[in-house]
Amino acid sequence: MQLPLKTRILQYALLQEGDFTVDDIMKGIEKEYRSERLFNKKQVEEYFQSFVGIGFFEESRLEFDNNGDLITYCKTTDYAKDRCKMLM
Amino acid sequence: MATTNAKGQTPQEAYNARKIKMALSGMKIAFLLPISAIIQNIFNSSVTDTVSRQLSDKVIVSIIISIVLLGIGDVFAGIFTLIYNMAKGKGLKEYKRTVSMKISWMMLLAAAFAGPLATGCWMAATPFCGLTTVAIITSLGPILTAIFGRFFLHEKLNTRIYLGIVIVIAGVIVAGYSGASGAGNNFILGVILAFMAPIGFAAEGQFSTFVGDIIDPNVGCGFFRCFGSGIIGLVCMAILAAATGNIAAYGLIFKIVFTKPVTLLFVAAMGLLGAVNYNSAYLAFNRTGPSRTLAIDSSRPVWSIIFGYLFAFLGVQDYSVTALAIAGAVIVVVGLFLVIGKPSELVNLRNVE
Repeated sequence: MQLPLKTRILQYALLQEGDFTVDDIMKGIEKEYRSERLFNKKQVEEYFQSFVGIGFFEESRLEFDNNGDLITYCKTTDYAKDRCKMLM
Repeated sequence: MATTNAKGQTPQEAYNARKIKMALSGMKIAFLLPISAIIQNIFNSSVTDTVSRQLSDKVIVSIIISIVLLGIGDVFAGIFTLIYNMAKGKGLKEYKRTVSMKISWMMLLAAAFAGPLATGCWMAATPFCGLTTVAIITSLGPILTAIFGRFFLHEKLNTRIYLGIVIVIAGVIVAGYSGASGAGNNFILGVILAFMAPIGFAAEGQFSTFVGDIIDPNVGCGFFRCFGSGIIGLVCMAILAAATGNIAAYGLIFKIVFTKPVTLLFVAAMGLLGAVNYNSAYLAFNRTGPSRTLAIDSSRPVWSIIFGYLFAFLGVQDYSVTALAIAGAVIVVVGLFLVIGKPSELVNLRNVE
């Protein structure tokens, strides 16, 4: 069963051993959603940021790229793992 | 690799600023709640009057009319939300994927709490315990939400925010106070029914946020809060109408709505404003938390004065305001400043590790 995009992003993150960025997520699930207009960086960033806001993701490393844009490396929290066992 | 960005921020500062921006956007969206609710109420009152004039004035029929009109409006809200979601690429495929997740159905439970249960009990309580008692009890939603949210969602709230919520509620009570009302014919039953409203709204905030953490809140809202709540309301009222011998009145409501173009247009407008209201709520719950969202929603006394004068100026309807209503609005503003006045607190919305 294909998951809603937001849920799939969360599942992808929960299944990672190390940290991840928005670009990692985009690459990781691209094959499943690439034909859909919903699947774009702005939308994935919005979902990513909402997970940060509610404490599902927490930053592990922060840096700027050469353009001065923030790259956020995150990992999932125990709170997310506890709440989303059905996705793991 | 750069150590600061164009704004001179370190990576940590830029990260915190991004988190605050997201939560602040939730607060801005939350301000659409009271505004859309006030305008929706104007259409709702007009349609309810039109339909009520042609039916019996029995209390049970009044309740059926109100909930059926709300139900039809919710179905329209579902259609408008679907159009909006499709424009953003969240079409039927995303709806189907969302609905196929068992946890998403918890949003239907939330919708049932807020829609037919809370609204129905709210309206049913008035004859039993009086208008003022009902108004005071139903204004308690934000504080119940804050209490539930602390334990259920681990919302991070401090003493100042709790105080702000209490002051907002006090302002709402002052603004809406219409003098001591009669005790009604069954005070205890009335109070119990009235309490179901804030409990229902608080439960909606918790459950819909819980699910909206995992799925897209606007897709869930479109299917469950709009279509789901609308259909539940219509089915429940069909059963109630049949059980109380009012099925003819039930059918007549549909006939009036769907055969008079102006009435249908007003119900569609209710649906559009409902779509704005529900979707704003569900998105704001997710971005800034249900406690802050419902505290902002309680600023209706302030907006009702602003829009009251605006509509009077435009010649839409007469408007006058009492000194008590202005005093209540001022108290609400003071409370709101305490709730939303310190953006730096928005870095962490929940107490989680």
